[in-house]
Amino acid sequence: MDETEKLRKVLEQQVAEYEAIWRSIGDGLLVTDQDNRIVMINEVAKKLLGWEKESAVGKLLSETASLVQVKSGLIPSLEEVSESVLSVSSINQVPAVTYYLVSNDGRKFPAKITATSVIINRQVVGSVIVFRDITVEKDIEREKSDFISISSHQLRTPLGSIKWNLEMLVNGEFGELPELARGVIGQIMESNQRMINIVTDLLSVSRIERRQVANKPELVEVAPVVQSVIDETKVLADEQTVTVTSQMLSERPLRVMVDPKLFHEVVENLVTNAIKYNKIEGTATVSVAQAGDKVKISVADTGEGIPEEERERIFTKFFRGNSAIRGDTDGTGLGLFVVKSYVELWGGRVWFESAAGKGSVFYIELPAKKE
Amino acid sequence: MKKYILIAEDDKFYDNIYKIKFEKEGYEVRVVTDGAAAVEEAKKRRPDVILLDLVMPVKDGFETLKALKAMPELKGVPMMVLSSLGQEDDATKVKELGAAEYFVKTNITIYELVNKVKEYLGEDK
Repeated sequence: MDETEKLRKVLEQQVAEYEAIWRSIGDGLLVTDQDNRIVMINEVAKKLLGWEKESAVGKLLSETASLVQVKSGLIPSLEEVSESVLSVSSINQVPAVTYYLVSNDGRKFPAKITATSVIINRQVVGSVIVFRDITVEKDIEREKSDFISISSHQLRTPLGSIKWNLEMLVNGEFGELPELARGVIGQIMESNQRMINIVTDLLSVSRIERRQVANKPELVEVAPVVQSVIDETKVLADEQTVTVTSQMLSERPLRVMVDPKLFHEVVENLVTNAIKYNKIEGTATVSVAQAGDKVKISVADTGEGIPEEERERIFTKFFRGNSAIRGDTDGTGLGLFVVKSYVELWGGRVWFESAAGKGSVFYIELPAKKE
Repeated sequence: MKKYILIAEDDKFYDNIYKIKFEKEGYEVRVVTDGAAAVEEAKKRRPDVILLDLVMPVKDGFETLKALKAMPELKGVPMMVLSSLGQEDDATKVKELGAAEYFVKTNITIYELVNKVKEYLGEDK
């Protein structure tokens, strides 16, 4: 066998390997040139996008399939997804976002899409788009959410009638009760209220996940909300021997563009956390300040701080840190998840700083006017 | 003469509470377990206040409210909707349909409810 023949064999072998790999990719794969024309399309993509009978090669992305972005209601084209990577000269990846893809034959399905630029000699020559049909995942997600919603409703009905019955009982409407019985009923009422709170939190999460949050942003002045939360949490703060104060670091009233009810819940969750996860005779300080064209609200506590290994998961739903479990056995691990979800709904952000043994500061930054 | 409260609620435990509490407060109480029955009862005699549950068999709270609001003889009768779920849309919807109040049962005490009823009847708390 001469050299040329050897080389040909090696090349053939390599091509065969790449082809085998290409065929084995389980996700839909599209390769485009810099003009958004399809250069390659794999079998999965052909099948998902309805291009099994005719060839999609040479066609524009937008002719191949159309796209609906669920979250924002925008209808971007597939071009926009790839263009966002084509316009940059370094390897640039657009993170996976869930869109609805509409195939050539009109089938609409939810898909997770990742677009990455292809770079040769520092030049963007095209893009690679990988996508996956996530209908099954979506269905499971919805079923889970439905389950939470329905079961919460079913749970709330009896919890409400228990509440009203206990209220009448403890108020002596059915006869004066012995001291001991009143104490016991007080405890039952507290437990019942705990269950009501848990169910309410679960419902909030299910609404967040179904994007059914009733969110009607308007300009809300921050200081009165902070004050009313401090007033409402006074009983809890006294119980925990924590002093809650507020600092308004601006001369003029600061307003943020939020839904008033949900904003109250956000501040309440942060203040309640600062009270519950604090030391004996600790302090909790709520500060409100202007930060450029935004408003920054911080809630500082003097608790034991959040351990390094728990920091990443602090905003995850149902997550409860070890010290949190010790500090308060009643929590659901949903408070900060709700805070983050709502704040992001308004285009704001949330973060925290924490020092072991000294405490934590939670920050939220919110737009002060309509975006 | 005693003031008359008509209540539509399909959960027997709530029915019981409404009857006990409002009768203790000196009202005449009639509890029915579905919306259609509430409309029938309201035709027979004009209530002073109507309380409606939202999720009910035969005719739900929305439909019942619509039907009751369409009856000219009930003009001026305060109608309050009580729900277990507390969805914001529901609150908006029942207010649009003309409900005087919308409550989530677990968010109020029985005393707050009684006071609200008294308030609408122009009675001292």
